[in-house]
Amino acid sequence: MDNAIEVRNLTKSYDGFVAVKDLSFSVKKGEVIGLVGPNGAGKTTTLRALAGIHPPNDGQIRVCGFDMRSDPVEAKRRLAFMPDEPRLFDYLTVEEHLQFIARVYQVANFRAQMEPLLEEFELLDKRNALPGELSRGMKQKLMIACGFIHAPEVLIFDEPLTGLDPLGIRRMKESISRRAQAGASVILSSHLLHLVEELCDSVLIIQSGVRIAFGTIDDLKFQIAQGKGDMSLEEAFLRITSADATHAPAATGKAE
Amino acid sequence: MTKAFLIVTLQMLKNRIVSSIRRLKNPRYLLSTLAGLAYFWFMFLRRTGRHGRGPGIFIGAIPMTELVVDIGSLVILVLMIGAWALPEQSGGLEFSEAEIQFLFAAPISRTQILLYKFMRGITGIVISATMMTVFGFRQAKGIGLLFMFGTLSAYFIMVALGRARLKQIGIGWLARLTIAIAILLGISWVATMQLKGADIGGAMDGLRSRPSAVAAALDARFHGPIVNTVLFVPRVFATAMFPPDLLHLFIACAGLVVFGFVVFQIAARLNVSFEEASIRYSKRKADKRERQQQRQRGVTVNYRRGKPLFRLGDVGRPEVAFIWKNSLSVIRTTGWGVVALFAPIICCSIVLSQLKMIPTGNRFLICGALCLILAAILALMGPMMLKNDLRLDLPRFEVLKTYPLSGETIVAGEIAAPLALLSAMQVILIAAGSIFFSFATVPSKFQLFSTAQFAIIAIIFVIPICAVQLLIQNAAAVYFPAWANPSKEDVKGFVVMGQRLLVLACYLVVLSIVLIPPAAIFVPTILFASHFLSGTPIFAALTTLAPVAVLIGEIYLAVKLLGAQFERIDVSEER
Repeated sequence: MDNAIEVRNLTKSYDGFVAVKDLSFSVKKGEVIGLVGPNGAGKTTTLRALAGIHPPNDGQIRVCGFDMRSDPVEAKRRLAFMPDEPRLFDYLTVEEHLQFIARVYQVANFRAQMEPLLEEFELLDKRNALPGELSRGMKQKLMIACGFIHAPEVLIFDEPLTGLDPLGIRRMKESISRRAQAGASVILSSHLLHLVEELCDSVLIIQSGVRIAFGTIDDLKFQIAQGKGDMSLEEAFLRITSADATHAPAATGKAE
Repeated sequence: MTKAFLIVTLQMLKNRIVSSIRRLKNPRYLLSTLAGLAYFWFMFLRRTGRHGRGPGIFIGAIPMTELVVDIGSLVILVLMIGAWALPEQSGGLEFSEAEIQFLFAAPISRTQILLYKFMRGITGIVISATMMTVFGFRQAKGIGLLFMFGTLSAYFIMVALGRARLKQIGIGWLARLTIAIAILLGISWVATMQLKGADIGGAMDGLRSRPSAVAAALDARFHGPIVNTVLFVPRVFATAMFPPDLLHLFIACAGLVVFGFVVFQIAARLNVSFEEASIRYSKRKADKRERQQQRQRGVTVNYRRGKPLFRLGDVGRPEVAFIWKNSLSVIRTTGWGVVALFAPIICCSIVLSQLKMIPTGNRFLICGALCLILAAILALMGPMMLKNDLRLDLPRFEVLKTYPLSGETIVAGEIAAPLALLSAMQVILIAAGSIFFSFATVPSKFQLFSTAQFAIIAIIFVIPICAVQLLIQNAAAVYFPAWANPSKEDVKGFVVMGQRLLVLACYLVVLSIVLIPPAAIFVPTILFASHFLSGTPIFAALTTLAPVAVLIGEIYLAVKLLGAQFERIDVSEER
């Protein structure tokens, strides 16, 4: 089994509004894919469905071979979801957050896992601080540290760099790359296309809840440029999202 | 520019009304509004006479308009002078974030910003005046209240800037406070002199039999030349609020317009640089509101140094992690507020032990009764007060749903901490009550409460009953999250009150239904046991086993159902 994530015909609607329609894709072990699309394209809905937060109306999600509908506990044990807005417990300190999450995920000898994470995210001197005493960026780092404590096989990031300073951004990029090299599969949603271009192997572009392109970044750029010269992902994205979805490039057959 | 501000103000009022009406499409707001209106109608309007013909609840009982005007003008005077004594002297006025962003950067003068500030307040004034008219101040026909509040608003803007101006010329808060106190003392002295010689006691005695004559006599004391001068302006305000007739109402309103215009012109000419101070002041106010909302939601950390009750091991049952987390939440957010419930018992016990006039036996009886009363209150109110479970974690449902745990594990873990705490407190109270009773001289009709059997049965029952209540409260959070925890975007006032009333009513209905099966078993069993087995050890066992088993069965089912619902819940939907 090469695929860490398999999504088949995912459909999610709210009050009659279809946020994601018939979406299919897969992510291999150690692969990093970028989920991009204009505002309201259905990116966050897709990620939340993958994390087991939103029950999908239709379709199938498998995480490391475990079906999110029939075996949610085992599927969730293998993933970590880092939302765009850090939702922390106001009354737990940084260290207590990690301790609580470690127990929830049954992490043996969590202190051995915690110390390197605190160091990696520059939280060592904030270990006894409450979320109310942390900046937005620090909260984001804590949220991500909580996600990393159980060494998940699948990492799902929704705008991971929001609120981080330049050094924090660099460290976060290194951190994501390192974990991908260690075999973790990563899906990250971001509007920062240079970040996607830098970190991701593949890109999934969705618009109005529908997949309009999926493939490696180079393939995608090549096909949109139709072999004529070099093109940035940003330009490719703008061209593809401004065109009719039916005229999307052919690099969309990866999941099938 | 004035026209633009007026359009914005009217548009804001219109939008507020339209959005309130649109909200009614949502069944939650519709039902809450109906419940809130029904509550207000039953509580206030019904008593004020049929369909508003009555004189109004607050002033309806006082027919003495002139005296009311005199007293009202005194209150207004104190407010007007007291405003100068406030410590705030930065000149900061409250604006919203958007207003600061757009208005302060716009090419408009300070006077125009002040005019906007005044006009923006009109929406709230219209609503307040309407509400007050509905709830009793009908003499003012709404217009009087509108002009009174509007002019007061302009006056307070002028005073806020005036305090800053005074600071600039070296008159600080202490000096202002001293002057204000001196003026108020002077007025009190004048009032005392005026009332000197008046037969207050006689007047009070005659109030019931000849109210109008007494009022006229007292009113006459308010009309000396000095008092008339001092109370001239406040009397215009009070007359607008309590006009004896339409002519006085219009004269008062005209007077207020002139006074309001004058104070606004003074405010504009004070030329105080209020922008920076307003940004700080507005932020402070916004932070304060946020803290209040956090306190209401139970997320304010009061005791950050509170230690966990026990050390959390690395691995083991995940429910324990929730107990650990929520016990920390209780310690740090609720603090010792809940534990302080014990304070009255301890204080009363100490006081009673020192009161030699009460016989020893009775002292113990009172202490025991206090313990049992507090246990009963805690059994009813505790689950509503101690919200450190799913109710507090409602904004983090999204995070909880990503945990690799089944719904029932999360539900069981979440309610375990408040249940353990409430149970421990009640067990202590019941045991303490029982011990006190064992030393007390208990009257025969209360003998039942002094028996060990009563204490054992109470302790056995209190824990599952507490669990049932917590589960019902948490069920509301899981099934109807929007009902259980109004968000800060929600409308305030009687809609929220209506929502709370409905939630409380549903809670009581569900609790009654849940308690019917165990009660149906308990009542005949205890009747049988007290007739045949009273005083034997089998009594407690027989009376408790079956009903407690039923309660435990209900709890088990409820945890299963809630867990399944928690897994199904879609946090994106509002219910």
